[in-house]
Amino acid sequence: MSQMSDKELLCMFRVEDTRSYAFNLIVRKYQERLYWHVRKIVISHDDTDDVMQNTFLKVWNALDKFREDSQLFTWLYRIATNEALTFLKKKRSKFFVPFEDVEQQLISTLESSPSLNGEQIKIKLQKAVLKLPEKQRLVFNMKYFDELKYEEISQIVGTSVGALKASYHHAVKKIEKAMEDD
Amino acid sequence: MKEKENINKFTAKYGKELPYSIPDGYFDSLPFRIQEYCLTQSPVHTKQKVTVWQAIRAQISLAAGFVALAFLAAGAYYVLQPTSNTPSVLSNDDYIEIIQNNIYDFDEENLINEIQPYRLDDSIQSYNDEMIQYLLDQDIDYTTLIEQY
Repeated sequence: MSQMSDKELLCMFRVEDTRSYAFNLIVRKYQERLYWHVRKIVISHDDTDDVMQNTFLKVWNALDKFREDSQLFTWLYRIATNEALTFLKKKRSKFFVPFEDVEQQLISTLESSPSLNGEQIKIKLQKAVLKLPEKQRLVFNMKYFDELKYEEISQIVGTSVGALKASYHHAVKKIEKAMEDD
Repeated sequence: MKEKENINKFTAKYGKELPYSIPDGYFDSLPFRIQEYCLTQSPVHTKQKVTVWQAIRAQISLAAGFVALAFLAAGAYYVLQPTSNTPSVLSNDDYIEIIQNNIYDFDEENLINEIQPYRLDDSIQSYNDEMIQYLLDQDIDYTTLIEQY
C-alpha cells in the first residue's frame, strides 16, 4: 500500500471507526525518524523506547486538537524533543545530578552501550556532539543528521532562523576542534 | 558558499551514520506496543452516549443543594426568632437599681419625657378639680385631712 498523506491520515483519525488504524499508520510512518531523533538526545535504547511511548501517548491524546498550522512531522518532532528533554531533566533531578554531569553521564552511557556498532570515528563524533550545550546539540543533530531545513527547526524549537544558523555554525566549529584535540 | 564547502568537508570526513544499533524487529513491534500503551494509559476516547439525566445531573444536584440550604436557613430563622409574648426578665426593682446606679446618665428632661405618658388624663384631672371645689364649698380643710390620713 502506498503511503498515505498526512491530510488523509488526519481525516481518518477524526473518524471514530478508523481512528486506531490511522494512528497505527501515523506511528509506522514517523517512528524511525522520531526514534533516531530521540536516541541522539537520550542515547540509551531503553530510555528512547520510554520516550517514544510517552511521545505517542501525547500524540494520541492531542491529535484531535492539531490545527494543521504546521506540518504533522514538525509537530511530532516538537513533542518528541520536549519529551526527550523532560526525560533528561527528570533523570537529573531524580539522581541530583548537576547539569554539567549530565553530558558526562550520556557519554558514559554511549561508551557502555551494548548496542553500539559503529566505527571509532562515529563514536568520537557522538562524544563531541554530547559535549555541546543542549540547544546547540539539538540544532546540530536536526541540521546535520536529520537534514531538516532551518525553517522546520525553527518551528520545532521556537528559535529564529538567524539564531539557529549561528548555533549550527558554533556547533560545527566546536565539534571540529574537539575532534582535532582528541 | 564557503560555509557549505566546510560542511561538505565535515560530512566527508565524519559521515552521517550513527554508531547505534537496535534490537531486531524493533520497528515492527513498536506500533502495536504503542497502540496498546495508549489504550491502557489514556482516558477512554470513544464518545459515549450521554443520557439527559447524566447531562443535567450536576445542575440538579446543585439546585437541590441550594433548596436544602434555603430550608435550613428559614428553619433556623423561625426557631431562633424571639417571640413577642416572652416575659420581661427585668423586675421593677431591677429598673430602679439600674437607674440609681446610672443616675448621671439621665438628665431631667429625659425623666420628664418618660414620666409624661403616665400623667393623669383630663377626665381624672377634672374629677380632682370637682373634689377640691366640693371641699372648698363645704369649708373642709383638705390639707388637714391629707395630713391626718
